[in-house]
Amino acid sequence: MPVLTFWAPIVLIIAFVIVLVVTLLYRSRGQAKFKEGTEQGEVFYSGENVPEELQRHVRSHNMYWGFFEAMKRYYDPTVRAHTGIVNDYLIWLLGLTALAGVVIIVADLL
Amino acid sequence: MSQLVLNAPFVAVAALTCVACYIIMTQKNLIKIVMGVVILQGAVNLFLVTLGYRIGGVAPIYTETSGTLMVLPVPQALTLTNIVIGVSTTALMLALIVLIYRHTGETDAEKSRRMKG
Amino acid sequence: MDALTLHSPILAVAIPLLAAFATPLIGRLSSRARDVFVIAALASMLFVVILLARDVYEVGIRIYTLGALSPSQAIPENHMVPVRLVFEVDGLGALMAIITAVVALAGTIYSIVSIKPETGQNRFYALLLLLVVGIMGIQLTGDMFNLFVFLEILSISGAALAAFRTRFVDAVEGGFKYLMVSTVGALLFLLAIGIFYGQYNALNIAAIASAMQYTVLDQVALALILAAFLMKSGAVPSHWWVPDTYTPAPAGTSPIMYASSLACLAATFRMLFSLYGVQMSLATVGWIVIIAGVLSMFVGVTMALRQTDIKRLMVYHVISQEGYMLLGVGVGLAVLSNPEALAAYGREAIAGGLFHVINNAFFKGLLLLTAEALFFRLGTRDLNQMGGMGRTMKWTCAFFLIGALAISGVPPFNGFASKLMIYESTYLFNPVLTIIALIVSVMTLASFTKVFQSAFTGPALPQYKEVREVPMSMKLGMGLLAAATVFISLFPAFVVDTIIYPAADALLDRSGYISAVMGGG
Repeated sequence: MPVLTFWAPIVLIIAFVIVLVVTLLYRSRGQAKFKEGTEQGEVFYSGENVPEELQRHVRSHNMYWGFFEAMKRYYDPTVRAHTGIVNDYLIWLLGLTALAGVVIIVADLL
Repeated sequence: MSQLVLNAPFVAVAALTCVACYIIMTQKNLIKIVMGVVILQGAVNLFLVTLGYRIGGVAPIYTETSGTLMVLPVPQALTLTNIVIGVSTTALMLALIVLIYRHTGETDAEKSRRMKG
Repeated sequence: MDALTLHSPILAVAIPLLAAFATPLIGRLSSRARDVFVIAALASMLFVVILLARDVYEVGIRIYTLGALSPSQAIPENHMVPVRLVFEVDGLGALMAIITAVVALAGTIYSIVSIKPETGQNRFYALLLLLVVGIMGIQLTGDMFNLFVFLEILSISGAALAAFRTRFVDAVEGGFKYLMVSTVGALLFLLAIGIFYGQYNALNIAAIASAMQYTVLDQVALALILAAFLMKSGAVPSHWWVPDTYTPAPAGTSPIMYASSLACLAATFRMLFSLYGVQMSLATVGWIVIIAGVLSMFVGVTMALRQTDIKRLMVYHVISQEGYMLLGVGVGLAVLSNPEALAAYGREAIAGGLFHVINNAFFKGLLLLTAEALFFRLGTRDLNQMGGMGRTMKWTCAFFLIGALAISGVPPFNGFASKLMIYESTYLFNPVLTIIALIVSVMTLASFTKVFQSAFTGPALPQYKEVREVPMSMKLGMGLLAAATVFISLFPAFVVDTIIYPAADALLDRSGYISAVMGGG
């Protein structure tokens, strides 16, 4: 069995291990100016006051807000199309059948 | 004339299919939708059974017939199987409608759409 | 052992079927014995499936005629066509059977604890085994009407399982919608069977394929079959039921329900390649499949991105990933009659699509299980309510990361390997398709970043102070799928050569499929 065919994860894993070892070695040498227990160890929040611990968590509804706002014209009709009414699901199914039939038959006639 | 008679079942199949499609696409009452599906099952069953009809054929319940041909009973077997399957799906659908009714007090498709989007 | 191999096609269906009806009886004695029995039944099914698959890869297509003097005698004496029920297992059937057996075992092990709080567990396991029967039968049978029967077994047990937690109204509603669309879809398929029987007097897939004329009636039947099976596998634009049904389905069943979607997808491929094959106008049908695939990919992932229900988000990825499979196989279908293009990229496109099927069955099943693990401990699926779960549920977090990285196509995971095959081959066919696939992959990663960030990172929330890691059996179920994912990630070339290319070649070899039953050729 050849190891290198169309895609070899082993190469990537080896590269990852090498990078990891180098990083850990570099990190273990440490930073000379760092002193434990001073404000160097504090959270930096762009100079603002750091919020309470529970306020720091970004909840999921805040994520990608700009993307949804920009894509509003795509999302509004798509979300509305998913009505949740069982009749609509059946209409889509029968409509798909009819469409597929028309396309297949017409394409064969042409 | 005989051509017309022989084709009558297929006309009935088409008519039943149209009725069933109309019902399941437009009726919002869940029980009516189930009725539509049952009519569609009836249409398909009629279609299968009609395919199995052979002019002058004999039912395959004798060991020997003189001169006439016996009918291969495959479509009849298919129809019976489909009837059994149809009964069980209908029963399960109605059971689920009962559960929906117990939860919400409604059997309206437009009211049972908690999940959307 | 030889006898076991000889009868393995029917045993793979018979074991779960008999176990399904024995389970409620054993459950009356003790629930512990029932759990052991169900696991043992599924493990022995896995064993039989492996025997069968090994035989298929070594010897070639296997047929098994029910009720004949010898299983290989498909056509009775003095007859022209097969009248008995024939099981026909080729590379594709073997691949799908392996997937089903592994996923069913993992899902059931997971269920042992996760279903404990519910009533009616005996019936739960009976339904679960029946669902496995339906999936297995669809993949192994070589008979159209038998396919319909297994499809209905799958629909009924699947709907009952989805609605199993009847105290949730959304579960009942999801089950009802699923049953409704599957019944209508199955009736469309039965209509197509009737059309075939009326024309060719046969029900066997190989027998119909050998007589196929591609008349207008066959074209109507093709449209009916395509619509029915694409709907069952959850392709856009008839995907609506998928998120509604899968989201409230009880924990361990999700990956098995997903396997049932994949089985319907495999049945679609079987119909397109083995039944119609080069007889139909390949460009048209190929492009229908490709367009359905691209739409599924795009709509699935964009809808997933905006969900805040963790499981619904993952279920939308079911649709999106199915798009990749349809895309890969559709490209192969479109160039089926062109030997040069087929050799250059068509075969690899089909193999990529099928490789994506097995990868998805494992890591997507794993992701659905981790979503259910969170629901099991937190009692909510709302991502807005979650946070900091990586601190307490370390195993779940690790399994989630494996699944999320794999599905987003991050190297070195297996999702990347199969997506790479699809990208490479579709690029030679039409670069636009590759670009869409790449964008979808990026959005997949974005949506899983959202889940990871909001559910697992952040400070420990006070309302979940008491939350502990999930119990052992749930970890085992997830671990089995995670191990399968990691194994394929490490040895993709081995997996592709042993089980994926035989499946792709089985799809391409239509005459082989026909002659296995009809003889000659």
